[in-house]
Amino acid sequence: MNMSDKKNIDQLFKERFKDFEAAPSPQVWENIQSQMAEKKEDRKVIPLWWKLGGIAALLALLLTVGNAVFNPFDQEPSIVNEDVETVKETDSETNTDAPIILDTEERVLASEENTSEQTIENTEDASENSSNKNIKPEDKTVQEKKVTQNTIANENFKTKVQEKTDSRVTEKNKIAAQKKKEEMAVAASDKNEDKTVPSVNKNDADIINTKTETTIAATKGENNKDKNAVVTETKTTSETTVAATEDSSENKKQSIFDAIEATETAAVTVKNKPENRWEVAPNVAPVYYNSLSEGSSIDPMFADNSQNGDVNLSYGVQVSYAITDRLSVRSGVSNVDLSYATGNIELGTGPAALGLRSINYNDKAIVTIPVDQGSISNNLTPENPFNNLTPKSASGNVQLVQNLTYYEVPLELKYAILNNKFGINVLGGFSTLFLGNNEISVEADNLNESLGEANNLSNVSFTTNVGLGFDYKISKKFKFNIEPMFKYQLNPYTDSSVDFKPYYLGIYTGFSFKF
Amino acid sequence: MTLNELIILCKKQDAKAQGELYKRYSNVLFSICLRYSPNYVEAEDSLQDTFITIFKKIEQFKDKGSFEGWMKRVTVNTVLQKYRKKRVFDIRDEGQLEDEVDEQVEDNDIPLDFLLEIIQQLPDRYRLVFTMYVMDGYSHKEVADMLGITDGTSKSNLARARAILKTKIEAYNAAKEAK
Repeated sequence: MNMSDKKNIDQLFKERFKDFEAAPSPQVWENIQSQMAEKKEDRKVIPLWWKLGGIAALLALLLTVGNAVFNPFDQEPSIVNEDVETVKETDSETNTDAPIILDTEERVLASEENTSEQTIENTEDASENSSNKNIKPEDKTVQEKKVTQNTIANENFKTKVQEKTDSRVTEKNKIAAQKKKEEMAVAASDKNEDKTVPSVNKNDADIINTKTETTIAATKGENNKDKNAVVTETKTTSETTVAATEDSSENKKQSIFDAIEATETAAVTVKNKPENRWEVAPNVAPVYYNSLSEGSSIDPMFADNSQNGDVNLSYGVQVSYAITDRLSVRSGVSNVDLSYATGNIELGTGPAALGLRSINYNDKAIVTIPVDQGSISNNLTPENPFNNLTPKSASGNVQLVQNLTYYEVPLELKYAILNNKFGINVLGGFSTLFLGNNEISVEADNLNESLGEANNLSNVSFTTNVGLGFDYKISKKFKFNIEPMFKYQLNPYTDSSVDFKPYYLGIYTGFSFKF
Repeated sequence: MTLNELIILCKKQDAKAQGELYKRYSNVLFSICLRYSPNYVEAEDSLQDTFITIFKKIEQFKDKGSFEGWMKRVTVNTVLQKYRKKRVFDIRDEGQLEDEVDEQVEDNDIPLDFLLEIIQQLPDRYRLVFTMYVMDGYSHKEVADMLGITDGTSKSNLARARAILKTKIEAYNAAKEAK
């Protein structure tokens, strides 16, 4: 025993494992790759939703429904997958090629057997049938011819292979022509083989018709093999055989590379496009409605009254389509509730005829009529049309409130100025508003009475929209969006004399989901 | 490609860069997995999980400190997570074993394979403490924190690990001498 030193056990392990490295099996990396590909598909965002509660939960629900409706098939080819698939494809292509070649070989083998049999038979029959060209002793010239032909064919072929690519189609034709010649030669020399060769060629022709470059190349290989078969059958030079085999293998290699190249370029072009073009975004927004001008939409007498825009809710779903990485066009539908209140009024009751022109009083005879403050009490002259009104007691702040519901269909463009984890977008477009319910009511501390519908509202109106969008990308597919938008109504009232230029401001918030 | 470039690409989830990162570091990290695992198969499992975690969380690596150090920590944490799940450490303190035993052994050109084998054969809780404390330089406090045990348990587990390893090495040496 060689006397070794005593060592502290810790020391021993520390020293020995200092530069320890070990290679895991290749399987590990394969597993990692496939797992990464999976991960991309099922990112877990659901737990995050619940944390946001309230609106977010509602949105989640909408989103799930939206997802089911708009995205029945899940397709997200990840980059990793693509690569793998590319390789697989090429593999399978070469695989499909292989059996064909094998097939030919088999046939050739079969034909070889046949020929040898035939040859024997023929030799036996030699005396009887001197016209049979296949009989060995007499056949020398034919065989020689054939060999030279083959050699020439092969040489031609080699140079053509070096020429490569573009001239493929013409090349194919040439080869086909060569093949025909050869066939004829074979036919002339050997009837038995005549049977097998055309069937092989038929096979070839099919492939040429249906398949791409790769297969064409492969067919070339077969072509050579055909020649091979002839050469081996006639048992002349082994040199040509070798040359031919080399050719075919060279061909095959080339074709595989070409195929890979082709698929690679295909993959690259695919990558340049946005991965998921469609995006669905449910959203809610507090919307503030007000007018840019002093006028009143209800009656000119309220033009100088205090008007307060109210904050209401808009909610809806938008679907957008990415034209490029940065530019997308979107549309959708949302429900917009708007309201505003007019103050400094007082109320009276009187006949409907005295009521406000812009309100449909629903055929009631005696109605509540809001008028400018002071119109009834301070103005008792006979000319005052409001003399006939009985003041209605109302305490506190009396307001005339107009509520509107629109169904909004926007058409907007969205351009990303900043497109990172955090994104900034400019938005612009217009919306078509379809009038839903509308109502004018009076509100005071002690009463809340609906008067009727406004009759001067357009059933269809338009808005011009501008805004900014901010988004935060939670994952590749999920974004959180906040979009302050300004929407200006173009023709809300049928009565063009109404000096009321309403707009609304909304801060649209929601999650969007790409598919 | 420099390491920095590689990290940036990996942060963008570039598949090629991930492959390159794996190529560069899988052997080092696998050696850690081997020391922490009872066998080769589990070590490979851990390595797989480790790289998934690295690719997923590479965003969180700020350019402070060494990237390799960060990856090693991820590796150790990934392995330990498995044992936390298995509740290996939910055992009663087995009583303190003071580590004042003579830990000297003869280094008789003992092959690395054998040393790895006897580490892997240790019961989980001993193996983890031993490899963390002795080979990865964690303190007893850190070991205790990471494994959710007390300092005392960490110390006594270490002592037991050493005792077992010592016995095995001595047996090996004896067998070798007998030849």
